[in-house]
Amino acid sequence: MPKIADAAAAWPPTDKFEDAPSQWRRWFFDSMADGFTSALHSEEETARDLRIGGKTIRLRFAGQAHTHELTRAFAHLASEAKQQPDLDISMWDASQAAPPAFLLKAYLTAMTHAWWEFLNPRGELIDFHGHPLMAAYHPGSDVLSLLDCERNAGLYWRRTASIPYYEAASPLRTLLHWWFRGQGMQFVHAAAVANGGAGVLLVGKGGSGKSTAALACVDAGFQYAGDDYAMVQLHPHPRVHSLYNSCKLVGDDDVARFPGLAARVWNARRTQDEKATLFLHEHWPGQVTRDFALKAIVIPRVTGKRETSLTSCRGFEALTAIAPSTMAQLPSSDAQDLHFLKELVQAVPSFVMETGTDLPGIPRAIGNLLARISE
Amino acid sequence: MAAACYGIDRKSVVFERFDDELIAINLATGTYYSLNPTGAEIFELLSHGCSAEDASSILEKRYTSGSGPLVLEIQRFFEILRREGLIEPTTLSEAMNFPDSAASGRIFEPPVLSAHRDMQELFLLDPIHDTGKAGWPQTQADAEDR
Repeated sequence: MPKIADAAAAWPPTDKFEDAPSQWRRWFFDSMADGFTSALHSEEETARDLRIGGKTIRLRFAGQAHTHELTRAFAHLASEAKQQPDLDISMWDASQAAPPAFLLKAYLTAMTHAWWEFLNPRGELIDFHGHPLMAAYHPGSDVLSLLDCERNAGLYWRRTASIPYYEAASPLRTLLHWWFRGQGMQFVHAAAVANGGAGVLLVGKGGSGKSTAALACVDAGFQYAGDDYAMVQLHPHPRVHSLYNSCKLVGDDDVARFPGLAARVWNARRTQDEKATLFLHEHWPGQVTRDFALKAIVIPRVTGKRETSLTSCRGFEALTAIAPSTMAQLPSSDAQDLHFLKELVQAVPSFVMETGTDLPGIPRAIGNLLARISE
Repeated sequence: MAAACYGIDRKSVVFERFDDELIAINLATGTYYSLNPTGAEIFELLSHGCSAEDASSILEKRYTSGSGPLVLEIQRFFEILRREGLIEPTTLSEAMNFPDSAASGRIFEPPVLSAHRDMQELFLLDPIHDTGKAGWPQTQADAEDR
């Protein structure tokens, strides 16, 4: 079958061209990939390999300018270079090279300035998204994510060179979600902590106390696998795989609750709207873990009481706590994601944690829970 | 005239039964729903396409009727589901092919749909919940005003 570019070169349009929509999406993906190749004409490639859930992810950057900023959250997952990665992601921004095709330049200019005309409500590109070629744009961080599910190749293109703090704290969310779905793993919105290799997911929407509870656990010597996102596999046994070693706290009051933490905040000179962000691997490398055995799901609820208590709850309650907040943040999330999350809450017991103001009580309660489950 | 038949709007709605309850998410609006056991049963029937009359005749075999005719209660519930964009008219009706389930002897509890709208902004092109007013989210109206 001729490529759409070849067919278009034989102008005027022929009526024999087949499968135009998928060819059109292929043209878009390949043309964007050509943009990365162009960027490499002026800058040397820098590669970083990560190991997540038994898979090797290679991040390839044009130049070194943003390599540290965009891999800091993955530092605990660094892996020795492997001959053939399972997923290959090219990362660059618009300042480094113009896309070779004029039509692509015109599209990106128009789309990034009037995105609401070009995107589905969930962020997918109306004209270029369709399995096996996934495409979504995030107007907040100005990131365009493209994944070729068949070739295991991802593109991560930024409209601007600047990187918002939340993007540095958790890069590549969309690409990792899409790709790991095909590997039988699920991206989830949850904090993840463990004690002795067995741990819990803390689930619930933003502001429910996940980060504070996770940091309190780190303070007590627990292992940390994330405060906002993690990857989960169910078979042969439920297991959590860490994605990011970052941690975000909403306000100065939250930071002040942990002595010595303020000096470790990465964005100390942040704006009022930014969360205080830390990269735990830089300060407590021994406590940041790659993965652990998942034993329970915990729904934290801030109560204002001093003591923390845990009570068993219905799996349905855990499903409503984890599914909407996870799926809301992921372009193209669908029935497959919801079904996975249902299987997840069926696989391990669920608990509501009434989080107390006495922070050491939080890891004590979770530690007791894990000990009880292990008996 | 044949009774109006409805089915789940599968372009926008995903759902899962969990024990005797059900969670449904309308991806187009960002609203998610929890349904009580009766609501979950009706929703499952709707996933195969059915009319209120179909659902009523199936549920009448399972339950002892409560205070009023089931069909009126189910029509009311259909109307709520329709207003929330969870169901749409369909010509497909397979629910009547279900094998009859045994009578439970329980009294029919009215179906309840609980709507949760606290995730709407996140679902609809606000995938990052960590930004404030100065950054994202920027609404379409905001952008057009620039």
